[in-house]
This record gives sequence, C-alpha cells and structure tokens, in this order.
Amino acid sequence: MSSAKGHEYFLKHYLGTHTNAIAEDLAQDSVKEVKWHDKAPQGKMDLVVDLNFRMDTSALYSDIVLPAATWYEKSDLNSTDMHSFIHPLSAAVPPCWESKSDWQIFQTVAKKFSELAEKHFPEPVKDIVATALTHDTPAEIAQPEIRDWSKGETEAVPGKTMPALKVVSRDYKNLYNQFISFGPKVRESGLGAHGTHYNVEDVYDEAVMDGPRVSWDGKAYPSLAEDIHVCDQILRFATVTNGELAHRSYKDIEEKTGVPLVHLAEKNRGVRVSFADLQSQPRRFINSPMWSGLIENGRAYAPFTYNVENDVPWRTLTGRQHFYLDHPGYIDFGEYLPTYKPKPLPAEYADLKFSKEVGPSLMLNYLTPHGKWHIHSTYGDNQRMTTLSRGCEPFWINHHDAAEIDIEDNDWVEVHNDNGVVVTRAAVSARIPRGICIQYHSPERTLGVPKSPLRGNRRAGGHNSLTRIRLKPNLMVGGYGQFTYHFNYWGPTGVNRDTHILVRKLPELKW
Amino acid sequence: MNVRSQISMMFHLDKCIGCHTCSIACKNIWTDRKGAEYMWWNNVETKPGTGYPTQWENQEKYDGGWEEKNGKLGLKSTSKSRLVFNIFHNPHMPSMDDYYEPWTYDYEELFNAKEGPDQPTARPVSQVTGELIQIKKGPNWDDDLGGSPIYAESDPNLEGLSDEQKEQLSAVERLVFFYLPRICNHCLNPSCVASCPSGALYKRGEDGIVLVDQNRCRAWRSCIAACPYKKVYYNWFSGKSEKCILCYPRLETGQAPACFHSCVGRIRYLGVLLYDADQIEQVAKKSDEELVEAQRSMILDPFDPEVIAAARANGIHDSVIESAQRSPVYKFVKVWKIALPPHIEYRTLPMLFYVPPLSPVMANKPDGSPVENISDDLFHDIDESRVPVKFLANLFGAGHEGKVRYALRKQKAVRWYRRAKTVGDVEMEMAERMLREADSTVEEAEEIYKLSALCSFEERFVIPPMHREEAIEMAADPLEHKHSTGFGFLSGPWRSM
Repeated sequence: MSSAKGHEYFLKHYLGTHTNAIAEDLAQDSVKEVKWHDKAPQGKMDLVVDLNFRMDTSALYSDIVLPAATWYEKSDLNSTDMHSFIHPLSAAVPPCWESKSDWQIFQTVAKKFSELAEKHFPEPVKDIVATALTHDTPAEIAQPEIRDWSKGETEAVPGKTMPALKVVSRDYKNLYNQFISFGPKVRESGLGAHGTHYNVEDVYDEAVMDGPRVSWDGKAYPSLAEDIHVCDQILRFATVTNGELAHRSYKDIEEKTGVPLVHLAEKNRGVRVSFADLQSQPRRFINSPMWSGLIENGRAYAPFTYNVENDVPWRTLTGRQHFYLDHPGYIDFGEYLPTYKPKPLPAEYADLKFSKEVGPSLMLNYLTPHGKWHIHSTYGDNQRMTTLSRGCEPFWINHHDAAEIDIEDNDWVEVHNDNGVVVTRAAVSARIPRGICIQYHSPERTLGVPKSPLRGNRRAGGHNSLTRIRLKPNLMVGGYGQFTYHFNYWGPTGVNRDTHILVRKLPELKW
Repeated sequence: MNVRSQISMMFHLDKCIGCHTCSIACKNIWTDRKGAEYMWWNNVETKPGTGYPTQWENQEKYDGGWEEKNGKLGLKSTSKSRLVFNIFHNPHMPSMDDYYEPWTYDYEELFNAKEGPDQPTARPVSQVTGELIQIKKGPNWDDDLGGSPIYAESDPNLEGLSDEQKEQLSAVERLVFFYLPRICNHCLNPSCVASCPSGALYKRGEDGIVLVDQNRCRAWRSCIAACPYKKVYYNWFSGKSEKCILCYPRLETGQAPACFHSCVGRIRYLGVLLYDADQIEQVAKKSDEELVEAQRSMILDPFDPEVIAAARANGIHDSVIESAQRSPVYKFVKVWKIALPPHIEYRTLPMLFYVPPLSPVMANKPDGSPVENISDDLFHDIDESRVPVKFLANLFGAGHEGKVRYALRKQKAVRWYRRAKTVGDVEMEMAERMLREADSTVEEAEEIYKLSALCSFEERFVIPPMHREEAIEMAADPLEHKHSTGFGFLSGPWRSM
C-alpha cells in the first residue's frame, strides 16, 4: 500500500477510512463521458485480505491478514529481467506457527472454494472475459487511428476496435483440482512469449511419466501440488532452463524471419536445469529468443545483441529501431519524436490549492527516488537497514533551504500538500540541490510515524501520501505496433510522482 | 632478520560503492548478540564525514595510538602507569553517545494497540534499556553526506585544506564523497595489545591476527581508548572487550572472511605479507614523512632466498611462503606502491592498505570551466580533482602528499594506457609516456589492470593453508572442546548438557 501513488486516495475511496487528503474534486467541468457525482464513492471495498509476510501498512488496514511464510521457509524461484541468473529460495526452517507459502495459501483457499462450489456451482458455468489488445498478435495493427465505437465513429469489433471478448467455461467445483494440475491445454497449444512459440507435447508427456503427478477424473497431470513441483515444472517448460525448448523456439523464429538462428541453441540443447540443481548453485540462463541478449561463453548480457548480430527484426511496427511515431495519439500530443518538455510550474501541478502555509514554510519540488538499499518497500525497513540509515526514511533538504526556515539536521519536519502529509526527520545535506527535496521510497506507516498537527493531529503518512496518480493520454494508445499492451512491459502507467510540497519545522511531536 | 607472517588486507576504494553488504555479513555472523548490538566490527563511512564512533580520527578527543617522544615510543594516553589515574573515569574513552544507542521498534504495539482513532505505529525503543527513545545517532548517520554541515564539514582530514577547497566540498555541483570501509587493521604494533593490563589481547604468531582472550579480559577497556581506529568494542552485557577476528575460523578452513567474501564491488584483497619484526620499533619511531616508506621497507621480498631461509628458520611453513609469493596485497603495497596504510601517523603500523580513490577526477575549477584531460603536464588534473590530494594525504600519507600523488599518478597512467588500447582516443605514445612518468611500464600496467578489474575470487583471496599440526590451539585436545560452539565462552549448548 505504501507503494501506491496517491496512497491517501486509496484510503479514502477504496477503504472509506480516515485520510489526510484535503483536495476537493475539481474535474466537474472536464468530465464529459461518464456521469458526474458530487460526492465520489468512498469505501468501495467490502473485504481486504492481506497476504504479505512483511506485515506492512496494508496489514494495518486489512480485515484478514493471512500468515505468509518468508523467503527462507518455502521453495520458490527468483529471477528478473535485470540480470541473467536464476536463484532458488529454499526452506532453511519450516514455516513458523500457522504460516504457509503463498502457493499453499492460494491452494487452501481454492480447496475450500471447491467444497462450497459442489453445492452452489455443481456444473461448469460460462463466463465472458475481456482482454486487452495484445502484443505479438494481429491486434498490433488493429488501431492505427483513434476511433471510438461507443460514439459511432467505427463499428464495434471485439479484438479490433474494442477489447477482445471470449466465452470461457469455469469449472468451480474442480477449481482445486485444476489448481494442483498443469492443465492439458498447454500440451495442445504449446507455449511462447515475446513473439515466440514452441510445442511441448513430448515434454508434457515426459512430465506426467517421470515427474510428480496428480490424478483426478481418471486422468493424470503434471503436479502443481507442492511449491517445489511448481518450481520444477517452470524450469522444465521454460526455454532458458531447457535447451531443447530453446532450440525449438529459435526454430520457430527462424521460420518466421527466414534467417538461420538454431545455431544459437545448438551448444546448450542438452541443458536441463532442475530445482535441486539451482539449490546446489544458482544458474545462468541459456540463450533463448525470449531475451534479446546473447550470453554464451560467459558473455555479459547486453540487450538486442540477438537482433543486431543475427538480423532478427525488432518487435516494432517497422521491425527496426524506431523513433518517429506516426500515431495520431502521439502526433497530437507533440511527442512523435523524442521531445524535450520543460517541467510544469507548481500551479500546473495543482497540488497546493487547499494547503495553507502555517509558520515559516518553504515550497519545494518533491521527488521520491528509489533508495540506496531498496527499490520499493522490501529490505529497507528491517532493523539492520534502518540502523544503517536513520531509523526512518528522512526528508532530504539542502542546507541553505533548511537554514531559511530554521531546520537543523535531524529535526522533525511536517511536509504537506493537498494530497496528504508526512512527518519525519530532516536530513540536511549539501548533496541536495536548492529548491528540491527528497523522500526515498518507501516508508511504511508501521514504523515510527508521528501525528500531524496540520491535519487534526492524526497519524501522518508515507512518501506516497504526497503524490497522486496522473494519467498521460498518449500512454493509453494501444493496438498499434510496439504500443500494444503486454503485461509489465507496455500499458498505461501512473506516470511519475514529482509534485510540490510545503515544509515546516514540526511544532510539537505527538505519537 | 626476524621474519613473521601476517595475513594482510587491501581495499580498493575506487571500486567501493558503499553498499554495506560487508557490514551486514559481519553483523549477522558475529555481533548479533546482546551487548554487541552497537558494534560494527566492519563499518563503511562516507568521506568527508565523521564516521563511527563520531570523530574517531580526532586524537585530540580520543588520544589513541602511539607517540614518539625523545626517541622513545609510548602510548599516548593509555600506558599502564597513566591508566591508574583514570581508573574511575577515562576522559578519552568513547561513550555510547559517541557510537549510538542501538534501537529496535516496539512491534508489539502494532498487534496490541488499543482501539483508537488512528492506526498504531511502532516507535523506536532502545536495545540497551528497552525504553522508548529519540534516535539521535547511528553507525552510518552521515551516510551520503547526510547532515553535511555538522558532519562532513567537521571531518578531521580537512585540516590543512584551503578555504576554497573546503567550500567546494559543500557546493552541490562541485562536491564529492567516497566510501571508506573499515575493519580492524591487525596492526604490527598494536596499541590495544600494548595497553591491556591483563594481557588479554594478543597477536597470533602464525598469521598476525589480533584477538581478545575472552577468559583473560577484565573489562579495563584500555584497549578501547588505546586503539586510534576505535576498532575494539566493549560488550556491556558480557563485560568483555571484543573486536574483528578476521573471521579466523573461516580462514582456518580456507574461506575468505565474510566481509571479503560478500563484497559486491570486489574491492577486497587478502594475502600474506612477510615482514621483519626486528624493525617494528625503529619504523614506528620514524618521522611522519618517512613512515609510509619505512613500513614498506620492513615488508620483505618473499622471493629473496635470504628471506626464505630466515622465514624457514623462524618456523614459517613453505606453504605460507608460497602463499606470500602469490599475495595480491604484496603486489599492490610493495611492488606497485599504489596501496597505502590509513593514518600511519598513529604508529600502530596497520596491515590493512587502501588504494586511494581516483574518481571522479574532473572539475573543481572555481570558474566552472571544464578540466582538460590532456595537457603538456599529463597529471595536472589530479590536482584539480574534486577530492583534494591533501584530504587523501591526511588519510593515507600522514599528511604528506608524495606517496598519495605517486599512487594516483600511476592509477591514472594505467587508466589512460587502457583507454589508448581499448577506446583508441588517446595516442598510445602519450599513454606510454604517462606510464614512464608515473614510474610504470606497459607490463606493470597490464598486471595492475588485470588484478584490479578482472581478478577472480582466487586471485583476490590468497589464503595460506592452516597447518593444524603447528597451531597453538591444537596443543589442546580438540575432542575436549567439541561441545564449545561459536564465539565466546566454553560452555556447551544447553540441550546436550
């Protein structure tokens, strides 16, 4: 929750609980397409369930907190697109008290759900699912222009002028069985991502034969019952840990592009990595068209070496490195080429319309970069790391700016704008430019957060209490070449968090 | 010649990113205990800054280390005769305020708080008293120039800098900082050992590691005041002093110390140096200006047949001599002369050496004009560096710039030589001229480059084999001590007793 931009608005609209936001709704005159409500809905969520071993801010606001096992109480895999290694997480100790791995918790919920479904959903039910226009599908050429079918500008065609729609069958009674089985659909249709595809029939049959399996309704499936089974199935079916599948995947791209590629997989065709292998030593990926870097013979990962050295087209509209964007969404926004745009003025941010200066205050540009020892919330707030910092996520301010409002190093400060308020300590430093202030990601309300006199002596918030989500219209363009949606790669973002704040010395410390 | 073997260390500061992984590795293994919460046997400091405990380098405050007076070497404030007068209060002893009061948080409040208008929050509580506290200091309080007007501007190493240079260090576009990781220096002339009234501190014969015998320590704490690096700590719970043990249980099984092993930037090197123990007193009495060279001169050439013969005569095993011949520390300190001891003016003869940081080399011109990389004087930018040479000299040259300048010139020449070779925008002829002027050669530059940038685990850590048959501890029956575990006293795990 601390990582949510506009944290105080989550408290207000989702949870309907106390919030330090004082901004009023200003959008009435701009709202044209949806119905305007003078009072925006509050408390939209009926039930909040938290599954997170950090027991962080979210847990404070949850109805149910599930006992989540930590990294060293379960089997799991750890990898990222930031490096080319794959690491195991292993149970050094059994999970404490009632805690369970995420996988086991989901499974337990699924089991209970299936029991209940026997009565309420004895037969499969049909459901309709809408999905985004997706990268690596024909949807990449679906929307070269912005035309709204709801206004009659074009015909409504699912998957082309609107989201794709699909009717699916939900077998709720068997949800648990499905949860613990690697389904047969993958055997028929194969796997792939990032524009690749490969068949896995034989690998699937092998997994049923010699791997752990589960049987129900007279059929056997590769098992997903235990955490370690899941890890092993992932490793078995992934191109970066199964050389044969990497080979197939290159073969598939070879056929699509007409350039020879399978040589990239020859050397590692025999590689198979299991979870036990990783436990004895973390392994590096092998070459795979899933990634654009080539890493044979200990070569460092560098993106697009695959494309450059093997004439494989980039996954853009033109198949080349591509800077000019001819989509009307970008042309109208003035960003059809890499463009410099000056920083908006504080008034344009409109985050200080309702906040009042009380006592000597300074308006500063507020930034929330990633911290030195953590990217978001994890790691930074354990006892070791808070000891190596200042016991809190301090407010960094230039020494001349601080002197202007009589703030000394380690003084408590109150930092506020229309979105919310932060109370923390000042870190006064020559390292920070004048006019700018920083609170690094991502303090939780669980650790040493005092109350705010300016907001009725209620508990202050974290770095995202001062931010809010802003949508950037051209990032909502989709269905066109490289701008087509792909999970965690391309889609609308909450842009970034820069805003302005007022800071003053805290007149009185209250807990 | 009285040849001894010392496991020595080198930290390459150009490679340190200040991540503190070393500190965490050490903390988790050794000082995660009651009474040791505030101890960081390994810590990393931002320079300029005042470090941990605060102002440790200010010997006017702490009066640690040795002094040379009338041709005699004596402890500055902690000789046994002087100690008697400070028996109830030693004014030079760091107190908890100088370190910090370790804290945790009142996590139970998050579960047990009474229902109220606000979400609960876990406030900081002291790990010493258990009471709620206001946090005023930590072991890394001035990290990344936090509180720079109070801390960075009070760095004792700023002494002798011009006003212009001092101002530059608090101007946002001209300032600089770097990291200084610190562990016990395992000195050749350790003032902690010399100061102990109980004889609890000793320097291990076989490898020079300095240790505190937990059974002999009587809580005099003179070691704490005597160590000018403040690397001995008093455990308020056990009533004994403790310090970095260079992970000797790891070394004895062929593993690098935890802080070395875990180092992300691969800045740490470890290997044997052979030295002539007969020279210790003479070297420690030299003038400040001569000290760096004098210490270097007592480090012996492990390939010299005479040294080898004398080492053997002193019972140093052939395998240790071979290890000394492959020591990366020997190369950096003695052969290439680019690694320097910290604050050798304390005269404890530290055996941890640092390659001073060369980057960022650019731009401290007050008029804002760019610093040219190449000019007729090839090394001019070392003096225009954001890190004033004098600052580094105060840290690594007993205030004298010569040896620091030599190290920086050679590093720069190596960099430009490699640039000529791989980037090609520097003429090789000029690079070779730079190497000559920096007292180096193409062959040496290649070696320095390889051991600095491409070094493997085995090249960085050349650990001498442990000869169980020669170890002092082996005189005792190991089976007798089988039940003793970990660090500290010889008492068995309760479950088996």
